[in-house]
Amino acid sequence: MVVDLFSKATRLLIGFDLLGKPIKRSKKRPLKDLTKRELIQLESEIGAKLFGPVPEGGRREFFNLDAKNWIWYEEWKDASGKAYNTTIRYEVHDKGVLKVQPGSKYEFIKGKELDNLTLAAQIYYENVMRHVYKRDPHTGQKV
Amino acid sequence: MAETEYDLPDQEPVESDSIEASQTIEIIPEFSSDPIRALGEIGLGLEVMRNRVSSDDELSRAA
Repeated sequence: MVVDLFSKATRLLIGFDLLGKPIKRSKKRPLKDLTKRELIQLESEIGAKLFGPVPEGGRREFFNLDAKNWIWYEEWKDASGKAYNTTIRYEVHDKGVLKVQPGSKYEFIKGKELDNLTLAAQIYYENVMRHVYKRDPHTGQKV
Repeated sequence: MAETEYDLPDQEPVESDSIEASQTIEIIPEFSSDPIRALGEIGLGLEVMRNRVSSDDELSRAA
């Protein structure tokens, strides 16, 4: 059920299902054999952990989709056990970062939300470079 | 989300294979102090990395 919701949400938003195809990783299959979608799945494993623990019964995803788009997905349950979920896309434009939410809600973010998103993206980049691509994020050297 | 704190928890390193040693990767040494520009730079850096590493452009076909 939870997986279904996430699958539908991501398919609608980004055109593919992040959970649709588990990645088989092994020494015999280096990164260069992975598709972009599979690389994003690996990155997403890190992005999901950036914001601390997820409440029981919840789920969170945070990942960079491409040069201009960042995706936030969150699932949670209220006290009665009713499930909720939301997917937010942050579009990077020259004049600002547009927050796109369900229900055709659009707004340019500013202030603390923009600062927090940027900080999260920087931490994401550093962790992804180190743990997925095995590169020092500052020098590009292998780690 | 706006008030979310971004404390990074202890993480287990993702087990992934290394990029070929011969590959030269251009890394953005320092991001812009402007948050909008920085987000663009980070996204572009990641996109460049994926383009160099990935086996195909499946994502762009799917989009």
